[in-house]
Amino acid sequence: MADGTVDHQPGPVPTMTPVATGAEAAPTVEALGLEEHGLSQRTLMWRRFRRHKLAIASLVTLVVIGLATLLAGVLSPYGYAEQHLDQILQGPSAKHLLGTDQLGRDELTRLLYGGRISLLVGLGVALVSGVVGTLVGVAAGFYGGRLDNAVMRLTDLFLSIPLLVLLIIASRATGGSIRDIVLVLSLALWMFLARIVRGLFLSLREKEFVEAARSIGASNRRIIFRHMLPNALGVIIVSITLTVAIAILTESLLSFLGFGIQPPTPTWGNMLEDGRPQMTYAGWLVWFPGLAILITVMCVNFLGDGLRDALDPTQRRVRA
Amino acid sequence: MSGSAHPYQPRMPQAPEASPDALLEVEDLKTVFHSEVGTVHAVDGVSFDVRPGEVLAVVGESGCGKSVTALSIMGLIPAPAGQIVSGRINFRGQNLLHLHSEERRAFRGDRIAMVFQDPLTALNPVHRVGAQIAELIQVHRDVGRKEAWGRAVELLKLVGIPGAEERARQYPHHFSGGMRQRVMIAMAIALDPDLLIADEPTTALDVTVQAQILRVLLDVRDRFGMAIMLITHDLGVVAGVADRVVVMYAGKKIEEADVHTIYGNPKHPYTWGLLGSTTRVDRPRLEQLTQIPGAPPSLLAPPPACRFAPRCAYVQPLCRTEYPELRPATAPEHLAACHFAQLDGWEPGPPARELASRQEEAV
Amino acid sequence: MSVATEPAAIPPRSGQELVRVTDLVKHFPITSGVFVQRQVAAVHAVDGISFSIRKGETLGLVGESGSGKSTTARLLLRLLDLTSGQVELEGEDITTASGARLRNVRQKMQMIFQDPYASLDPRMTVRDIVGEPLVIWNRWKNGGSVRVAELLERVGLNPDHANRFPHEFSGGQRQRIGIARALALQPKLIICDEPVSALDVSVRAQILNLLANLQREFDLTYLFISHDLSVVRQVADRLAVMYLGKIVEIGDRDELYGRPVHPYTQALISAVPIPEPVKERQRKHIVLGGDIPSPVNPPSGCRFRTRCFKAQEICAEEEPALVDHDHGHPSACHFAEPLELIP
Repeated sequence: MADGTVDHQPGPVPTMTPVATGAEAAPTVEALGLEEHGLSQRTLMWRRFRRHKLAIASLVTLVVIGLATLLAGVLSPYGYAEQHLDQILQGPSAKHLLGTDQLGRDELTRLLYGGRISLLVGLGVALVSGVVGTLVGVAAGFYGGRLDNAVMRLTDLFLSIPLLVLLIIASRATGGSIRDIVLVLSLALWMFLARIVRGLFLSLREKEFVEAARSIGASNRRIIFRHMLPNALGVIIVSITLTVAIAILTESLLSFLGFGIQPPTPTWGNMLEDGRPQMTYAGWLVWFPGLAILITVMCVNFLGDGLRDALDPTQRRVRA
Repeated sequence: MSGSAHPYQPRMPQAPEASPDALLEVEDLKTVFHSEVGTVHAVDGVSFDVRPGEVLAVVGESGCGKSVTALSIMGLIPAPAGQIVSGRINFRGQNLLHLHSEERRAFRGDRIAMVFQDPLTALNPVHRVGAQIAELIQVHRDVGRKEAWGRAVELLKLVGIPGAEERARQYPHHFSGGMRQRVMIAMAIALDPDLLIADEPTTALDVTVQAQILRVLLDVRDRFGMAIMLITHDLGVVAGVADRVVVMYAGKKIEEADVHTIYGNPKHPYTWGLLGSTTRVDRPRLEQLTQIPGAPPSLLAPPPACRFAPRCAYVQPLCRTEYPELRPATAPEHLAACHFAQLDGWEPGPPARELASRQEEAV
Repeated sequence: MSVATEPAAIPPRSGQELVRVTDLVKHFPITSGVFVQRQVAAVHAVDGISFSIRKGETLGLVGESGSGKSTTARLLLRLLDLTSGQVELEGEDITTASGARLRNVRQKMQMIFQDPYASLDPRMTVRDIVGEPLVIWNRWKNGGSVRVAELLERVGLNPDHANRFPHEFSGGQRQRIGIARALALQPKLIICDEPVSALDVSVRAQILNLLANLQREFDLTYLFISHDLSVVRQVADRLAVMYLGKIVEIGDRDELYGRPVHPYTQALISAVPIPEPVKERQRKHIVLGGDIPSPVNPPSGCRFRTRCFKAQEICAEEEPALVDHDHGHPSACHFAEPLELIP
């Protein structure tokens, strides 16, 4: 180009033409001699995260949402089961900011209290499935061999049961308490993290610094906790973040199907279910819970993206 | 029971006299990379020629800019992080940097081809090897599929792949490292380019395979008359195949001469250091190898004047204030970027230090 | 499957011996099957090798890819389990040592790895890395920090940088960190697995000089593994050449370089280019045809025969034993003959 810059895109070349690949890609930090400027891992991590404006915004949003649900009692003068039968199916107004449902209950209040449960479930599932998935993945990936085989067959078994069926069966077998919901959903979601962690550990096992640790006499436990887990933490955390999103959505699904938390306790899911038949004339009953779910899930996903970039120790690409 | 019946294969006859009119002229090339910590001046004003039919070796250690130079010539610098900020790259008189990407593509593979260190980056693992070569031919030349395939098989034979007919139908992972490199060479020469850039083509190979591949490169050069720009850090390889040598350090060219002069009568302390610290199979064990202290400078903020000054055993105050431009040393074609390169008796050893300080005082 | 080596191949046991390896074999099983894994083939990585290392000497182990040299190193350190064979350290049989006894043995043998970028945990500081052996062996409490600083200084690094992370150092410096780590437990034997292959030429010399100095200072014994014959010439006292899991020639350094007798050794030496144009272009070059065969199915008889310029029928039928054919050192070839390849 006239200004001296060069467009490296080979243009519409058939994919097989190999000679023109720019596969060398961006030089790594090492190749350019950038290492010695004294920044610690943590500083670099923070820098990378900071650049993800969306992730920061999402974090803030989530914190705001979380606080709002916690402060539901303070923020709203109404109870979530409080019925005002003289004000049923009212649209948003000064008295009821988000309107009322068919029993005159304040939508905003229900949204806030419902958020508590949805978020609680999301976090709970993320935690439980995270721990179980990680343990299983570590066992399979680190020890390999027959243990890996056995564990992976078990995982595959769980994966092959259709989610819906699993959920229905499990929720029939248990009560409708939050604890039960968390357990049921964790049962459905631990396998994904297990697979990821297994893959990670299988590859970490071959890394030279793990071999080096062995050669200086480190025990298996030390190698797993001191060397391998810290290096896998980035991916695990990101995966758990994403599980939060999935859990919230699936909890809504459960409620929507009539299982899960029973009325009058609101959750975003059962609010959707309640509002569905009245959608044509009382749309706000569906839009607001739906929006709440959408925003929360999106924010969690963006946060996960940002965390992934920040925590990934192999991320050393030079960026424009 | 195979292998050569004549184990001592005679050296290939010397290349035809390289004509002085340059095939490729690189003038004051400057390529930078923008990073989160600053701008890296990977290539900082480098000029050299490649003449038709010759083997030019570009030698240096990691970070010296030799690979980036090659990528700049090929137009493979990834934007927007990378940018060629100034300079000219004249191929047969035409400035490649002024071409549109479409025209640039016509050059790549056709007039100038490149062979990389890792064949796996250039070979597509899901397509058959023969098909990849044939496709290249079909795209750039007006030939039918059958003819292109036939030519592909011929090329594989040329680079010494036994059973080329069957092997053309195989996938890259069926080939060993050395064989893959041969395939890459076959692909590179498929369109009979004028210039072949080989970026560390044998670094990842076993030494016995390296010898084979170098032989293939020279063979191909003799047959087709193309020039080869060989980028490497291996001084042994250079001694065996190069006609002329360019030595790079920290993004700059610091010495250039024909191969015999570079090894026999180098004039830059870095070249001395490189030659002195190379282990040799023909030399009895030394108490200590000559070593160059320290490490190459950061290209974010290179030293103000001579970039080698912080590590040079012969450094004088002048070296830190004034950049030593390239100047002719033993002959007009022998350039060295050192203030003292033209002094009589400028050779590695304590006397050189004397010479340098005396010269410094005189100035 | 291994051929017993003739007694003449290994020098008799002497008090000066630190390590003795006898008929080392390592086959990696290749399994297949969905529910139950069955072994269908094996990679013959190391197939019956024997050697010894004397106190204070450097034994070079040379070979190309697939030769089994890296596997041998790991077998010695017991990072891998032996398929068969025997390993003795200071006269003691450590072949089947396990648990606490094995970990004890590990203190005496340490390793320096090839890749300076991958052999250091990116999430640990230099102090943690070099100090980890001390922590594991309960030697940290009494002046572990001081010892780390000492070690860093000894290998040419600034102790004030102990708080930094590996990615802040250059390749050569990282290798020095690895060396400091290897020295922490005051081992007797250090196995250097291609310690300079990933480094630039000018840095190589620094590290090689450092290793030589450390050997003198701490009376260390080295097993130096490399594919680069020019490097091995600089560091080794004796060397063994490996090909496809077997030792094909073993002897004193100058003798082996000056008058190698095995065709593979000869090809290797002639393939290493000499950085001197006239010399390099005028010397004899033996160029081998073909590729290195797969270690899953090594050739019958002599493994090198598929690429050897001297191969005859007998080479396919009978595997040559590693014996001294009156050349001063053992070689495994039916037609061993000295050749001078270095002008």
